[in-house]
Parts: sequence; C-alpha cells; structure tokens
Amino acid sequence: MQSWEHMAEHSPDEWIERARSGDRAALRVVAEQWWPTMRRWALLDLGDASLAEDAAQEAMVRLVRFIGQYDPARPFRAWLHMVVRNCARDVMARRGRQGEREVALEWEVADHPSTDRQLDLERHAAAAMKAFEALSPRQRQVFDLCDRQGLTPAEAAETLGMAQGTARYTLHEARKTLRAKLLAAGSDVLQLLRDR
Amino acid sequence: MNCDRIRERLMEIPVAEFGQLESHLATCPECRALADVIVEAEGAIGLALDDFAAAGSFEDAWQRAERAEVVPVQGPWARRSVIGLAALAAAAVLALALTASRPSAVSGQAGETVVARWLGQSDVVVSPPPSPAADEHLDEGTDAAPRPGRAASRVPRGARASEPDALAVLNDVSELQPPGGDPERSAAGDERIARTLATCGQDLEPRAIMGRLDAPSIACVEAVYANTQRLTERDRVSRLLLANAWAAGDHTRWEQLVKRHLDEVSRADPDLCYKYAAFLSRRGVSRAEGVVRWSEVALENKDRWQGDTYTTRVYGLLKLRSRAAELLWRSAEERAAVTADDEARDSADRARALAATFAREWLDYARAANLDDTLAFDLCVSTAGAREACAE
Repeated sequence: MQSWEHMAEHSPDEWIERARSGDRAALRVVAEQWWPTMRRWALLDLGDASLAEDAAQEAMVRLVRFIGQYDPARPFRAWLHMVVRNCARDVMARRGRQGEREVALEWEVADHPSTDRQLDLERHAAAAMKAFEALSPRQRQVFDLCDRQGLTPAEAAETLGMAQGTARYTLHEARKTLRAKLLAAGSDVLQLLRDR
Repeated sequence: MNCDRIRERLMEIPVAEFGQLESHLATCPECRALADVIVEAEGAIGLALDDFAAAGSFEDAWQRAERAEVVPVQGPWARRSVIGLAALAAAAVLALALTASRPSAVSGQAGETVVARWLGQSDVVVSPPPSPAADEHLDEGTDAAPRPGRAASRVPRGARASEPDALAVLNDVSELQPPGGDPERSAAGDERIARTLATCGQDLEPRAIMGRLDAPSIACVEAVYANTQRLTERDRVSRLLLANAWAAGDHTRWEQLVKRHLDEVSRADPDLCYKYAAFLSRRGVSRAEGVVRWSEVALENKDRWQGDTYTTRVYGLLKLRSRAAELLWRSAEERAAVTADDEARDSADRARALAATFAREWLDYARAANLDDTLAFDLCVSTAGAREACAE
C-alpha cells in the first residue's frame, strides 16, 4: 500500500487526479496529506475540539465518497475547505437537535501541582486562547491561513471563497481585534515585562 | 518613527514583519514589551492549532471512512478524545515555555478554565430578545423594488444597474426543480418513486404546483416519505409536499417541511436554502441567525447557478446576510447598553465585526457585478466606522 512517503513520486495535482479517477491508493495518499489540515479547519470553524473531531471525521468520509465529483478546474484546497465547512455545519445542526453535550471536557491542570512559573505560562496561554476565541470563525480562518500558514490574502480568499478585498479586510480586523484583546486582557503584562 | 506610530504598526502588521521595526524596538523597552506579548501569544495559538491538527490518528479516520462507504453511518464518530484536548491545551503552555525567556503573566481567569472553555465551547450565539425597534423585516422596503430587466453583468461600466430584489426568490423558486438538476437522480429511481407515488393519486405534481393536494393525498405522500430510504427518492417526495404547502399559502407547514428537508434530506439546493433565508428575513431579529446560516449554506453551493441567475442570487444572499448581521449587531449593542457587562460588550463587538465582514463582502460583490452599491457602502461604513475602510 502506498503511503505518505510515496508522495514525491508524483506532484500533488497528479495524486489528486489519480484519486479522482478512482485510484484508491492515491486517494489514501491525498487523504493522509490533507488530514491535519482538515482537522485544523474544523477546529477553526467550530471553536470546539470535540465537535471538530466529529466534523473532521465526517469530512474524511465525504472526501472518500465524493472525490470523483471534485472539479479540477477549481483549486482542490478550496473544494476540500467547502467539504469541511459543510460538515462543520452539519455537526453543529445535529448538536442543536440533540441539545447540549453530556460529555464534560475539562483540562484538569488544576489537579496537578503547579509552580508559579507554570501558572504564569498557563495564564498567558489562556489569555491568548481567550483572545482568539473572540474572533469570528472567518477571522480565525483568515488569520490562520495568512499569519500562521503563510498564505497570501489572495490565496486565503481563494480557499475560503471570498473576495480578495474581503480577505485583506478580514485579516486586518482579525489582527487588530486579537492584539487589542491580548493587550486589554493583560494590563499587568507590560509592567511584568518592564520589571524583568 | 515615534512610539505611537510603532505601536500602530505593531497592531497591524504580521509578526513575521516585526523585524522591520527592529531599529526602534532595540532601543525602546516599552515597544519591545508590546511586540513580545504579541509574538508569544500568537506563537502559542499557532502551536495549539498545530498540535490539534497533528493529534488525530489518520489510520483510524481512514478506516472509519472506508467502513462508512459500505455502511452509511452518522456521527458522532470519535471516542471523546481527552488526549487530543490535553495535547491542544498543553501545546499552548509548551509554546510559551519554548518562546518565553522569562516568567510573564496575563491577568484573567485561571488558565485551565479559559482554555478548556474555548476548547469545549461552541460558537457564541447572539440571541437577543426581540425588541420593537429591531424586530423589523430585514428587507422591508425592497419588496416593491423592480426586478432587474437585464443581466447585471451586461450593464455597461459606469452605468450601474439597480439592485436586484433579494426577496423575489420567494416567488421565483420552484421547489420541484433544483437548479442544475440532481446528479444523483437516476431513471430507475425516478420510475420506482413515480410508481409508488401513483398510489396516492393521479397528477400529483400539477396539483401540488397549484396547492391542491387534498388531505388524503398529503397523508399518503407523507407515508411514502416515511417509508422511503433512498435520499434521492425522499428528495422528490419532500419537494412535492413543499411545493404544495407554498402554493396553498400554508407557510407554517412550509417552514416545518423545509426544515425537515434541510435536516433529513439535503441542503445542497441553493435555491431552497435561499428561499428559506428570504422567508426567515421577514420574521425579524429573532430569526436573523437563521438568515445568516441559510444564506451561507446557499452560498456554498452557488456554483449550481449560472449567468444572470448566479449574479442575482449571489447578490441577494449577500444582502440578506448583511442585513441580518446588522440586525444582530444592533440588537447586541442595545443589550450591551442595558446590561453594561463585559460579556455583552464582547458579544456586541463580535456581532459588529461579523456585520462589517459581511457588509464588505456584499460591497465587493456589488462593485464587481457593477450593481448599485449604495446600500452596501452605507452599511459597510456604518459597521466599519470609517469611509476609508470601504474604499474601492
């Protein structure tokens, strides 16, 4: 069976084309390549790790089932993003019908003894996550694609199916909002840094 | 550059470009401290996302997907992965351990609480109570707007076409005919379901279009729906009931049926999603979230439209979505003004940001399609707070 190590045998587009025309081994290679990205997109869309797990899995099922319907005239990244986004919506809709989840998801760091330094780091991480939470799903996605993944706003716009101007504007808003929240949340951070 | 200008730049440019400001940062501890906070926090976010992305087992996911191809299964799929969550949260801390050269702290709630909350929380839903001021029709006043007499895309540059009527879809869409047809529909399936439906009476489709299915026929078709497993066949039966309810003017029943169709059958028909969004847009702020949601679902399948229909429908959806987001924003602002707490303020800020993004998207599209962009521009300025933000 082919695996990720065999990716270099063909270009990414060739793998996708082979997968599209029914080559199961190629489909597996493509799926493995994109799996982390699918999980990441699901989390950015839903802001909830548990729901994101479900959405990513469902997206994998649809990738396997519907790869033949992918139109190579469009970027694969954009098509796959739409698949993940549809799955995220479906997962949200199902959750809405089933009511709140029963599973309590806790990060139980409080059960472990912490040093002052660890607590500081945890608080800083928490503030970062809280600020990130304040962004809309769209802002989170554009921010991640551009500032973390290194795509240009034009590439992000193509992936997310939005106008380039909108992507640039959304990225600008995302950075501004995120950083303003970070700084507002950490009024004592600057003092601490000054004292270092 | 002075400190004010540097700080302005620090709020705007990507972390990767902070090096451009190094000559100032090297000599200014306060600006350096600001830059450090941003770099560390964004690094923590990035590593947390990386960890979540890498935590899922591809092998498990692949095998489940292969099994699901044989036996259709619905989620939830995964065992609840506490490991994944712990890894994600730990990554945020690890990121700081790796990047921070000294202890630092950010005021706020205890780390585990906030991080776990983000991880375990769904998107914030703004559900303000309807108020008399806000509970207006999203598109009130546009019902009387003339339908575009020609393709927007063919209007000569410089002479912008009047904006399409976003609600015209309520009369334009026929539930019986999805745009572009249904690729999964088969002749054998058509024949099979036609035979089954024939037991409910003759000429069902013409009668449904006129809203004249009688109660026994409707009950019979409902029974067919309940006993049909194939989605393509269910789709056809469901559309029959939808067409009948709409034509008969029974909008309460139509809404029940369309919700069932979108939940149980398919949400791939952008016409139906658009019609539902337009329908909800006439129900005020309490349904505005639904307008946004179904507009987005319709836009995801916009490629099924072509030519003039594409232009008119996409414009209409962007408009409906923007107006709904505006209503949610205004409602959230009202609530923030009344309650004056941080959570309400944050909700209002998020609602404004969303409304601004949608308005900008509507404006971009109106300009690209050479349609009247007056309303979109006004809304963009209103949500962004500055005319410059909405410049071409």
